[in-house]
Amino acid sequence: MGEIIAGVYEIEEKIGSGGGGIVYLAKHMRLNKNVVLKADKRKITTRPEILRREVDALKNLSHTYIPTVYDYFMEDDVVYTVIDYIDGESLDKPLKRGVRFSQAQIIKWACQLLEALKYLHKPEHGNPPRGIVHSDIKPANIMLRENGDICLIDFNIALALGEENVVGLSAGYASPEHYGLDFSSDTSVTGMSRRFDTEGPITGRIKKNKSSAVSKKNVYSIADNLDKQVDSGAETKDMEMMEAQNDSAETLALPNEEKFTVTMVMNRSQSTTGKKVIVPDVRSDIYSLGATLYHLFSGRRPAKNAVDVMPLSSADVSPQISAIIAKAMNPNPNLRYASAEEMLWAFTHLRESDIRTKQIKRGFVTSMVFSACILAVGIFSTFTGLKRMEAFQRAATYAEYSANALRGGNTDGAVEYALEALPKSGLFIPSYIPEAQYALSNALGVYDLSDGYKSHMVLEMPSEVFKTVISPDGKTGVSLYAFEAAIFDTETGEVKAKLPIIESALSDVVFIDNEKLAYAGKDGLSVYDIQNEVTLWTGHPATHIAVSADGTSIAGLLRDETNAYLYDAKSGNENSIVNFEGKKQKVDDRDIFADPMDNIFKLSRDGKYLAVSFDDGGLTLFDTENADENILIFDTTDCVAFEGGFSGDYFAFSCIGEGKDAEGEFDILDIKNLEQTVGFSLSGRIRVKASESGIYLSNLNTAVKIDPQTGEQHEAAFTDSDMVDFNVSGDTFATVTKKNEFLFYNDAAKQISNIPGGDETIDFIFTAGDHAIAAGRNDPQVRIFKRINNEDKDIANYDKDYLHSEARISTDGSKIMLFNYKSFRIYSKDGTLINETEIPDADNVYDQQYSKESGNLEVIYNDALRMYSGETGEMIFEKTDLKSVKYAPYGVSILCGDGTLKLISDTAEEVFSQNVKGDFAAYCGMVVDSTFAENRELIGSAKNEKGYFFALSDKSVCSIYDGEGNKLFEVPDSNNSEAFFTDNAVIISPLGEAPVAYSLKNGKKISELEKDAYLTYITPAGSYVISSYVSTTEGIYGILLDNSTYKPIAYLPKLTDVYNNSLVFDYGMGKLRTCRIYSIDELIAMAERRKTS
Amino acid sequence: MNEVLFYGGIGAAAFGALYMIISVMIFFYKKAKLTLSFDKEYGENSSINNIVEKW
Repeated sequence: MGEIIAGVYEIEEKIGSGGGGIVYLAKHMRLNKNVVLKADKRKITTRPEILRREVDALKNLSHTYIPTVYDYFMEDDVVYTVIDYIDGESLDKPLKRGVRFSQAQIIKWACQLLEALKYLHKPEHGNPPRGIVHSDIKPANIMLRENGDICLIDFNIALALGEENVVGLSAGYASPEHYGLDFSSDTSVTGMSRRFDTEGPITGRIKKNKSSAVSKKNVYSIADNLDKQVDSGAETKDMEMMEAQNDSAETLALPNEEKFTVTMVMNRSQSTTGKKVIVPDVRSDIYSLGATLYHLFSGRRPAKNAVDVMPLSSADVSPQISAIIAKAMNPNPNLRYASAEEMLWAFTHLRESDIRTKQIKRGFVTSMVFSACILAVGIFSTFTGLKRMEAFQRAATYAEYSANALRGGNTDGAVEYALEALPKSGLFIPSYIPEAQYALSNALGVYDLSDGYKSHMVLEMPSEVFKTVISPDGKTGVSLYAFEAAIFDTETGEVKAKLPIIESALSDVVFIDNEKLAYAGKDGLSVYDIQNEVTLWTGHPATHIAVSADGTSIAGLLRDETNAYLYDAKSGNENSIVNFEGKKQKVDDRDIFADPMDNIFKLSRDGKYLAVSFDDGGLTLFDTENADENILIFDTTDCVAFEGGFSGDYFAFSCIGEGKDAEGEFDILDIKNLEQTVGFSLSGRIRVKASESGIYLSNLNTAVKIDPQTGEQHEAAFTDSDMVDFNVSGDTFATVTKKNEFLFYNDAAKQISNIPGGDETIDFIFTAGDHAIAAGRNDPQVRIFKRINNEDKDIANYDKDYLHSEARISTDGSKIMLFNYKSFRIYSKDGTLINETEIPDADNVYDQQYSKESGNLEVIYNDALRMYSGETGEMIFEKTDLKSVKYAPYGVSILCGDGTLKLISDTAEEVFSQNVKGDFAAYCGMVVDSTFAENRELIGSAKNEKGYFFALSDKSVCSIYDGEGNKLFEVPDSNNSEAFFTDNAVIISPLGEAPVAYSLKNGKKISELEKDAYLTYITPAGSYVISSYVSTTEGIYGILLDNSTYKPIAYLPKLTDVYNNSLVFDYGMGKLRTCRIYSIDELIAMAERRKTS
Repeated sequence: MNEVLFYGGIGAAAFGALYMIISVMIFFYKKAKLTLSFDKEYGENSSINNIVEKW
């Protein structure tokens, strides 16, 4: 049985001893529980109340990783502390055996230790403001339990009671503060970064104070729990250590610890009376814990000198752990973890703080940002492209609508659609779409400077129109539909009045003069005053109406009645009744199918005769004054359709029988002499319009004016397709053909206007004054045309009878040159002929080129070159018998018979000369001869500010070169191409195919040009390019191109030249006209003005 | 040009989306791998906050 202590505890064995006492394993005899008895041999100097307080503080500690203190008593002058027995071994033992623990295991223990320290360091566990400082953390004071957890033992309660300088000093684990070293203001000390001789003196910032007494640093084993006090100048009793002298070395003998040398320099210490004392605090525990962990991780005890501790290597620990240990063991306590909680946080957030985590996170974020940027750019680009495509599609659609409206004569609609085609402003919308500008310029007609009739507007009637007429001055029109007559202004389209009419498709309306008209009113034949908007009088019901040319008499006939009424046009008095003796006009059972043009119901100029045709094929001129003087032309015939009227003293008519092969008969009667003056037959129907202006007739596609006396015919018009209807007023012949073309001719039978129609069918056309109207029976629309005069755009005159293929104007605008392959003429701009020259050997002319700069004409043959002065027309250069001739805008290359290659400028100067071999050569900045060309043809060359360029083609590939012979790129080609150059593009124009523009920079295709004509010129004009064409159907015309996209932005009919960046047009009427190129903003402004007006 | 923007944009967006998906997949793969490494290095102590897991 072992020794019994306090009658309760039986000592079983001694388990440890130290400078402060002995540690026993004992058993509580009553509880039969193992406990640890610590017997402190040192004399008790502490006052009893302090001891009691100490026990109270100890016994209140309760933590998983801290042993419980059960009791405290004194016996035989020995102070015993009863502590919980921790089953296991202290960590120093396996360390001494060489056991290495895993990093994960040590981290787990570190967290447990820090939890314990965090608990201990709580202020409420000690004397505030600080809790209990262990002050001697080392492997030996950490118990490893059997369950794998640890327990922190042997903490110094005395420090909790505010005692100073009561510390354990374990070499390698003790913080610098344990030795009284103060690194707190030494920024050069960064922990494990300075090397010192580990055997050398430990030096820190210890101030030397020679005047004071030696200060003492008392180092105590943490096993001791003695009350020590150091006061300035006072010696402490019962010190186990020798007191240090100034600059003397002191050997500190520590129980169970290694000996090391400490050189202490005098330090002015402070007591609780107010002077400074370096006292270990929670950060010292942090240091000791760090050092303990250092040992556990590396298997080596850290160096005694804090500044001499080597960092943990990556072979031992993860970098994060190394960093934590390094921070914990920083000699400068201010740079360590300020608390156990902070260090615990570091351990519990290892994964988060690990650089690999940060790298992955950073890499992930970078990837996501990058992909998000790409995605955003992609979405933005897609959206932008889509919006732009939609805008272009919309522009194309509305441009199509505009073109259709223009074809249908609806110019207002065409302008509106064209405005709609323009891109609306927006972030993603392109600011400019060529198709829209093209539609707008066409709709406005700004580049059509021809005189003649143009589509003015389209009126929409409530239903299909079955008759339309125009006033003699052309300012008023009337259209009849079911069942109203609409009177409208042909200039503004304003409907002035709507009059109810008789319900019959045979309803008629005739202008008496510009102010009055007779119409088949609902209540009867009525005369309406347009100006005063009042019906002047109403007669008997009538469908057919005839008005004498002198405006004095009006005749009315109701459908197929057998008599007509004659009225005084002014008063409406019924003058007479004309009896048809039982005959009636041809009228269908249903009016809607009636063709009013199949009957004749006309009054002579003075109203004396009323011409009436009948359904039995009869035709009679009724004498309205004397029925006995009626003139029977036909009694009965097979004719089913009659047409005709009076012209002065003559009556002209045509009739035709039934059947599609029926022949039409035409006759003119001299009413005065009662004799036929003209009579013939033609295949097909003969349309007749007779009025005081003359007698016109048309058959198929020919219209003539016929002299009623002699029968002589003068051509009035000749069309490509059969005429449906025609009308003559003044010097204008208007017709509509089966192709739905509206054609206008002057009195010389020269076509002055050709307006394509839409899909509607037109049955009648009328012209008067400066207007014309046309309508069809199956269409509610009435088209109005207006004659336009652009004389203000004249720039030069010439003889309009001189046939020419091209017209050019000199640079100074003073002269014009008109030429064809046979001859040319030079006029001054006022039309005075200066010179006319015949071109020799015209049949062999290959090309003619007019030089803008010099005004000279270059006539190019296959084997000759002739140049003519643009001033006088004289020949200024001639060379024949040439091997080759090649034109370029900068000069003509000629290869003479003697092998001399010459470049002749447009002023006939020889600017280059060189002997070459072969049968072909041209100068293109370099000599391009047969050798270089290698069976390829030189199809074009040019010179711009960047130098010379030329194109060689083998009919499948065209190669573009610069002036030094460097091949720039190749493009596909085909037969008989020509190459045109601008500053930024080359246009390859194969015969019969669409020309294609390629970028001179990189050879990429820019755009295809117009393909339905022959490209003759490409002319740069500022920010535009003008392409000139010649077509069999349209003659010469141009297309204005945008000089970056080469898309068409305007159609230029009859374009002949470009003069000072303005356009010059030749309509073959003896005048050249000009206008400038309008920007899109100007076009929009014009359209807006047109809308508001 | 408009077609280049449109189709190029679709391509770029598709590339960006694919890149994003692949990045996410690679991230989760690396995360799993790192978690295994961390478990090995730092232990699987449930009391240890695994911020990566929280992601």
